[in-house]
Amino acid sequence: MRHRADFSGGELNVIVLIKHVIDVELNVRVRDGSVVQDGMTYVLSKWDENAIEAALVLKDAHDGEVTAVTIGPERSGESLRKALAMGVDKGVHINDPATEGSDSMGYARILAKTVTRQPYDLILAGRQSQDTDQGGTGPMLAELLNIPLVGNVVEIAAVDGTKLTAHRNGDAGKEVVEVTLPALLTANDSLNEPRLASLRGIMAAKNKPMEILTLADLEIDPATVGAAGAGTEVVEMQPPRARAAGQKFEGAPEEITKEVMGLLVNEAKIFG
Amino acid sequence: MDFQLTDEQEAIRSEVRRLCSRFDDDYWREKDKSHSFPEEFYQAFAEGGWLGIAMPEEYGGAGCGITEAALIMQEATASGGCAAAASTVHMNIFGANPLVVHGSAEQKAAYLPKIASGKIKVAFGVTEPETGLDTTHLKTKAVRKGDHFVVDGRKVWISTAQVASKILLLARTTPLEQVSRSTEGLSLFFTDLDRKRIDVREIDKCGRGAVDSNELFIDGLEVPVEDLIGEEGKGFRYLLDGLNPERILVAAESIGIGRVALDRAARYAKERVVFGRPIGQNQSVQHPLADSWVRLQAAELLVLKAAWMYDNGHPCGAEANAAKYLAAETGFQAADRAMQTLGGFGYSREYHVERYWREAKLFRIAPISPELILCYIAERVLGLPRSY
Ligand SMILES: Cc1cc2nc3c(=O)[nH]c(=O)nc-3n(C[C@H](O)[C@H](O)[C@H](O)COP(=O)(O)OP(=O)(O)OC[C@H]3O[C@@H](n4cnc5c(N)ncnc54)[C@H](O)[C@@H]3O)c2cc1C
Repeated sequence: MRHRADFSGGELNVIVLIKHVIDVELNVRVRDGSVVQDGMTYVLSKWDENAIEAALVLKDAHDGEVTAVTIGPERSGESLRKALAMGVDKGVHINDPATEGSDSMGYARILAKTVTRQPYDLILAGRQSQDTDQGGTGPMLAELLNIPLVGNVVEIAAVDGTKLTAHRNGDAGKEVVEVTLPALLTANDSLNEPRLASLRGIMAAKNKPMEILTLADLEIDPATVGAAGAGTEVVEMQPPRARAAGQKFEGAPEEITKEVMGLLVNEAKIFG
Repeated sequence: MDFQLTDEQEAIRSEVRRLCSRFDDDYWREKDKSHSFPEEFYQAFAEGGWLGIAMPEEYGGAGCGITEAALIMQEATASGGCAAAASTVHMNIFGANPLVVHGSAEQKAAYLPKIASGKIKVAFGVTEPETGLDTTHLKTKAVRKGDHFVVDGRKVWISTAQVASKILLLARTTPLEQVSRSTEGLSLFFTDLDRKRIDVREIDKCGRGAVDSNELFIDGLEVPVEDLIGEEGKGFRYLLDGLNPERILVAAESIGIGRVALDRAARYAKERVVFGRPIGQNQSVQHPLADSWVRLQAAELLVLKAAWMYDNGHPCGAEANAAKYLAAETGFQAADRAMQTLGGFGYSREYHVERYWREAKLFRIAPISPELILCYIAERVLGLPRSY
C-alpha cells in the first residue's frame, strides 16, 4: 500500500519515528535478570535526533509537514515534546499498555497502521534505538509498507521530484543510492549535528498538535502486538562484564615499547 | 503541594544542560587562565533565546518566571562553568530588571529587545570602594545641569565593564544631609559606558578569571536626563525591587557549583585507589560528600520555594535571603570537600576542582555576604534590634 502525497516539486511530508529510551549513558543497573527501573532516567534515542534534524532540514528546503510518531507509555510524551520543540509540526503518541513488550515486528505493525492514516513522502528513523541496539523496526516497517529502504544513511544528497538520493557508508566505501518516494531511511549519527531546541521552540511546542492514540483507535488487534504478539522474548538481562584494570608501564621509551609490543602480539594477539 | 517541575520546565532544564555540555571544563579552564570573556558561550545563549528567558514577551523575551531563570542558571554553573558561566549571562538575564519594572516605554523599547537578544552587554555599577555593603552611603554624585546630569565618583568590582556598552549606575542626586533617610536621594541611570569619561581598570582577582571585574573612575560623565530610570531620588528603592529574585538566582548558581564539585569528587573517590582500595570506601571520605548532597538538596528546595513565592506574587524576602545564605554556604562547603577528596590533585589546575572552589567562594562574598543576610533575618524575621 503506497501512500503518496502529491510531491511534484511541492511539499514534502515527512514522518519521523522516535523512541524514548533509557539513558544508557547513566549507570544502567541489572538485578535479577532485568534492568532496575528505580531512579532510571529516559532520553530521546540519539539516532532519532539525527532523523528529526534531517526531517527539519528537508522541511526548510521543500516545505511540507513533519510529524513525529512514538509508541510508549506516558513518559514517552517527553521525547515527542522535545521533537516539537526542535521544530517538528505535529506529534502522534500511541499510548496503550498492550504495546508493552513489543518486539521490532510488533512496533512495525503498529507504525504501519499509524503512518498510513495520512499521505507521506518519506519516513525517517534512527538506524537503531539506543536501548536495544536492535535496528529492526525501520526495515520491518518498510517491508510492511512495501516501500524502499535505505539503512544507515550518512547523507541525503538530493530530493528531486519523486526521487531521493542518499549516501550510506559500507565496509568498502560509500554507496550512493537512489530511491523512489515514498521511502524509508534510517539515520546514522554522522548524518548531521542535531540542533538544540531554542527557548522559543520549547514555548511554541505546547501549542502544537499532539494526538494520543490507543490500539483501538488504530483498529489493531492487541494479540498481534506487545508481549502477546511478540515472536521474540528477552529471557534475561546480564550486566556488561567489568573492564579489567589497565596496566601501567614505566621506564625508557625504547624498552617499554618493546615490552608493550610483545604483550600486544603474544598475549592480546591483536595482530591476528 | 506539588514538587514536580512542569513539562516545559523539564524541557528548559534539559536543553540548557545540553547546550552547556558543549562548553566543557577545559573550555572554562582556558577562559579562566587567559582572562578572556566567554563570548562563544554568551552567543550560544543568545542564539537559543535563553538570555530573554525572564524578559516580557513584548520585548522579545519568553516571559518566564524566576523559577525558570533559576533552573537555567543552575545548569550553567553545574556544567563546570561555575560562576564564570553565570556571570557571562547573568546581567542580560536579570540585571536589567529595574529597567523592566521602572523604565519608561521608550527606554524599554529601545533597550530590552537588545538585552534579550544579546546585542548589548550591561554592567551593574553599584558597589564603591569606601562604602561597600553600606550602599546608601555611596559617594558617587550626579548633579543635574539642564538636560543632563554630570556624574563624578568611583565604583569598584564592576563586572563585565571591559566588554559592556551600557551601565546601570547608582549615584546620589540629593546630598545625604538634605534627605530624611539615607535610602532617599539616590538615582538609577541606564546609560552609555562612555570610556572617554569612565576609566575602567581591571582588578586582578582570585577566581572567575574569565569575567572581568573593574575599578571605575568616573570623571565628568554626562548622562542625558532620558537615561534616568523612573523618578529622581528613588533609585535605591528600584534596586530593592530586584533584590529578592537576584538572591534566588545567585542561590541557584551556587547550588550548581556544589553539584558539579560533588560529582567530580564522587567520581574520583570511586577510582582512586590507595591502601589497596578506593578512597571512597572510607566513611570519612564518603560522609562529607553524602552530607553535602543532603545540604544541596535542602538548599535547592529553599530556592525553588522562594522562586515559587516570587513568581506567584508572595513576599519572599526571608526565603530569598535564606536560600542565598544556605546555597552559597553549602555550595562552597561542597567545593571545599571535593577539593579535600581529590587530595593533591584537587590542588592542581588540571582537575578543575580548585577552580570550582575559587568560584564558589565568590558567592559567599558577593553580591551579599552571609553576615549581612543573618543580620537581615535576625532583624526582619526574628524581630531583633537592627545591628547595622
Ligand atoms: C568578583 C566580584 C564581582 C562583583 N561584581 C559586582 C558588580 O558587577 N557590580 C557591583 O556593584 N558590585 C559587584 N561586586 C561587589 C560586591 O557586591 C561586594 O564586594 C559585596 O557587596 C561586599 O562589599 P565589600 O566588598 O565592600 O565588603 P564590605 O562591605 O567591606 O564588608 C567586608 C566584610 O565585613 C562584613 N560586614 C560589613 N558590615 C558588617 C556588619 N554590619 N555586620 C556584620 N558583618 C559586616 C561583610 O559581611 C564582609 O564579610 C563584586 C564583587 C566581586 C568580588
